[in-house]
Amino acid sequence: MIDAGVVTLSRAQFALTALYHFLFVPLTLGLSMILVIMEAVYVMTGREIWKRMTRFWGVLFGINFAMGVATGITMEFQFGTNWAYYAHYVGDIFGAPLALEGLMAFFLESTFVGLFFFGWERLSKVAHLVVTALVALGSSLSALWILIANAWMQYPVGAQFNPQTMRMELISFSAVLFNPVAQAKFVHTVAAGYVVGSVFVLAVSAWYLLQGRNVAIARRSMAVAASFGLACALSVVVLGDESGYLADENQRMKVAAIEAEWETEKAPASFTVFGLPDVTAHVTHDALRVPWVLGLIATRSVDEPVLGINDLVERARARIKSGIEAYLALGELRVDPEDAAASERFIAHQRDLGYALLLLRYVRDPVAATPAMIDQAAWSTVPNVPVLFWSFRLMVGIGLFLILLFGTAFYLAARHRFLASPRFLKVAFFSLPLPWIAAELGWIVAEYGRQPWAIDGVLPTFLGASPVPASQVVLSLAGFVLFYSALAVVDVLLLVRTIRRGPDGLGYWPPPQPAPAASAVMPS
Amino acid sequence: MEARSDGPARWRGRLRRDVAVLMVLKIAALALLWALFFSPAARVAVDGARVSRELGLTQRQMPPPPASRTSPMRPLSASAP
Repeated sequence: MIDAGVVTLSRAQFALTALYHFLFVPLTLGLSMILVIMEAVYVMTGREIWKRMTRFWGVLFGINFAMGVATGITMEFQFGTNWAYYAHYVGDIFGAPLALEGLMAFFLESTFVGLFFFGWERLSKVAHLVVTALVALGSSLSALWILIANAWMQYPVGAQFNPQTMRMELISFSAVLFNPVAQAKFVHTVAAGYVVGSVFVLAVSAWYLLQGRNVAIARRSMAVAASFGLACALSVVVLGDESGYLADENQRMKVAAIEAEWETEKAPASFTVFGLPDVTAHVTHDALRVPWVLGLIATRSVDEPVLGINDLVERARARIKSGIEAYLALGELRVDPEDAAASERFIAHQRDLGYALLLLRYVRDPVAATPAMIDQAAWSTVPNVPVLFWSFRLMVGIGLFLILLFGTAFYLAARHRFLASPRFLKVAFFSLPLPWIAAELGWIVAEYGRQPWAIDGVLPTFLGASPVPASQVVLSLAGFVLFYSALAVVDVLLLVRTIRRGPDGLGYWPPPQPAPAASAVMPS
Repeated sequence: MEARSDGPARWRGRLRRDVAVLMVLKIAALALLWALFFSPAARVAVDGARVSRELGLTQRQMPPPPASRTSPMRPLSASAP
């Protein structure tokens, strides 16, 4: 059995690199789309200021893009180095979208990013706009493939376990591609990225207006960010709701943990706005509930109950017992692949094989598990309730605040009153970190809420790690911390320096005045 | 600015030297990473048999040990009824 310390270290390393990587991804997604909007206005109106705006925000996009690519590569390598069993067990399915993401990210995005920066004077207006649009499309397609892979971890469809190769094998690529969880995650995540980009443009522009610098560019940028951001922030709520609905279809334990709902709620279930989850007593103290809301979110109905943690643990217990049958049959099939009786039993119970594997944390042979061990394994299917409960509420709270922020900005933009509202400009500037916090919390809810599974219901996380020495993981983790800290310092310095210099300092605005014609200076 | 005043030939020479140094440093860093984390010695090769062992299935497949293994001093015939 792989050392629990190595598993924890490998998880910490992946979490660190993934959360760090996602500081850059949403800004790339958001800024690329804002660049398309600004450049489209330039192409349609022919007004030079929109081109200058696109070029200025493009510099900030470029710095961020380079960091995003650099920090993304390391995660893909970790599947091989730190998660070798995982890579073998599910690589047949997981590998394809990951490879496609690499192709999209490296070939499509990188090619057109080069053209974006060096093509201003070499391409026609429309051709350059197409290039910018392809950069944005490439960014979104990269996100699509990664989220298809990630969604498969949440809801593994289109695959089945092969007892001969001891791995999950792809049986329907279209099922993986059109996984409903993937579609919901993609639009939710991309819309969240657009919100990050919009808040970034809004906050930086607010700073310029407070300074009284680059007013013409900042006002227009704020108007774009306010309208685009408002539409996207509202979309994030709607699309996040769809994710919640799908989670109640296939990850009920995650929904119950997010709600700290220990007992099954009768229909229509109420939503807990505030409470203090007690993981020892299995109750939520001082719960403030809003009737009906959870039932509407999770079941889209008023007559279906929402299962609580206690009942879901009971279901997990039953699935573990069924999984032991699958495990037993699998052992027999490994000895005699032609054993028809074992094959029949395995097919009948294979859906629950992963649940039996949870027992390997407590006993070497799941068949010999005692009722106490089965009970422990069943309760191990409950993720960390307080972390999920608070992460989700904080994320939603920030999301609602951002809708208010964009709504106010939209109103001020429509009334041309940004300069008369310094208090709003300060709020907009200090809101800069909020969308990143919300985005990271969203990933914590999604991935921490998936625990104890690497692949939900199929492969427990502790069985996916590579049996490497702990010292090796400590070394790489320390390397990542040092290297990423240095990268963070460089990134922040570059961004801050570019923002401080601004369109005026970088020579983008005001445009250089053409030299007066010789005939005008020296009349003949 | 300084490079431009040196003239194109000197500027190109300096660029070549810088690129060469960077390439050497990059190859050295990649070789170190390969040796530490990706070389056959560091890599964990996983196949079906290894997964089977990891999941404890191999133990279950093994037939019961013969008497000669558990009691090596006992003659084989002694285990016969």
